[in-house]
Amino acid sequence: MSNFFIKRRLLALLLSLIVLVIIMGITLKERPIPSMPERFIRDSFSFVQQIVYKPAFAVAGFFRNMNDMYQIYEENKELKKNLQQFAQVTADLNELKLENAQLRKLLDAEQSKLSSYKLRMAEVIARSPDRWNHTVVIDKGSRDGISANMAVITPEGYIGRVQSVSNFSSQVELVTDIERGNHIGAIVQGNERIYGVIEGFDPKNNLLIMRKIPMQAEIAPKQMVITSGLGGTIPKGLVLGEIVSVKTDDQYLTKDAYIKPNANLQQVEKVFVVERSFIPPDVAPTPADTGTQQGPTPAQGGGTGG
Amino acid sequence: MRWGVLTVILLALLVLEGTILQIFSHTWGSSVLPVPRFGLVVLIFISLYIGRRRAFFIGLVFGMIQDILYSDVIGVYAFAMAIVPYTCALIYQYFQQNVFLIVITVFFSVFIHENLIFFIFHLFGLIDDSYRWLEMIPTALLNSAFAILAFRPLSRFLENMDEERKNERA
Repeated sequence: MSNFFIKRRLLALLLSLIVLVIIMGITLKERPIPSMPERFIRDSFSFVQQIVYKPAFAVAGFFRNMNDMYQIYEENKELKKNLQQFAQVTADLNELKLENAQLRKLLDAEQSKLSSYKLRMAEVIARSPDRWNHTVVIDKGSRDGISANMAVITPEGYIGRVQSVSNFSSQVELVTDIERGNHIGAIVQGNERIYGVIEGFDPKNNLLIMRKIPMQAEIAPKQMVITSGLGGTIPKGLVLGEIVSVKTDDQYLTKDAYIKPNANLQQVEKVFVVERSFIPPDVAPTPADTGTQQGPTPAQGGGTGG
Repeated sequence: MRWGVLTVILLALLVLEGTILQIFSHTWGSSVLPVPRFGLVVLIFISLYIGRRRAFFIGLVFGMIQDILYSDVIGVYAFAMAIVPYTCALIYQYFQQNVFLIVITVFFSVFIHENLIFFIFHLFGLIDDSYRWLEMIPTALLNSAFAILAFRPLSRFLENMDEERKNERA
């Protein structure tokens, strides 16, 4: 073995490079349930991480509290001011809810399925150390009924989705790690609902980028952004954040909004995994599915176009 | 026995990097976060004191565990954590072993390691970000500081281990 390495070092290096590229290529795609040895390693490490993380978080929390002491007075004044408005907002909200229910009854309209969901509590037990993988590990896995692509939230708002599930732990991809397949349908709450897709992240300013907003839409900073619940396993109405700035995109066809995430993504301890009650079908029905004959025109058009 | 201790140290560092060190680095909340790579530092020490070929295989295994635990793609860290300590010892064989040189070696190795990781991820389209080498300097500094702290106990431990190995062979 070692003889081989000495004599054919270059060959060995090249071979291992090829093996590396092959393994990476195989594991590159989305794998909701990883292979058996991976699950075993993740689960066994999750026990140790659990033991280490919680006391450390408590100690860190103590230091953070010390730090906060200095700002408490100012913050308290601000909060009291907000609280007065809060009472009014709560009263309004209750009134509107009641009115909404009554009107729905009058119209015989059922509650929208898009926004109903079930919550499961989980605790964060580790976090990816590098800056390229925005992953946290939580202490609930497939044994606790968690499956891939479920949304993960904190009380402040949406933080990410479950990327892969082992038996006793699962990995959550944070919203800042916008990869392929991690785009989120979102709504800007303006005078009307404005739809767009969150599909980028600006790491310099820690802002999410929402694209494909219609040009004529009236959006402005300070408007709230929530999930749209259209497609995928993320229910409607989870808070994403607040718009900070708006720009026209490069082609001058749509607008881009920059969104400050509402949840604190640096300090996550307790999270909720959201199980959606309504799961949309994988494939959207198309006219071809109804059984009508379609001419070969699209295929021909594609051929001549290339 | 000593290999067992070394394995436990490396595994513990792997867990610490993902848990305690994460909490504290995020608590102090600066915009540029230095990334702890203490496992890599220990691997560099192993390659310098015990032998680069052993360090290569240990790095391969621990890199793979790191891949499995904290990322989704297998092979990036396995490759980098195997190749960096190996090359490091290959270059270092012309120098004497002292604190200063070892710390400098750690500094550059960690810097190169971070670059390597960045470019592999970039190659496979997993990072959508521009290359900023300045942000990798704090990481290299943090790990050099760890190398200074760990130099005394670690070098003594590894020297003893190496001697034992030679005695066994003799």
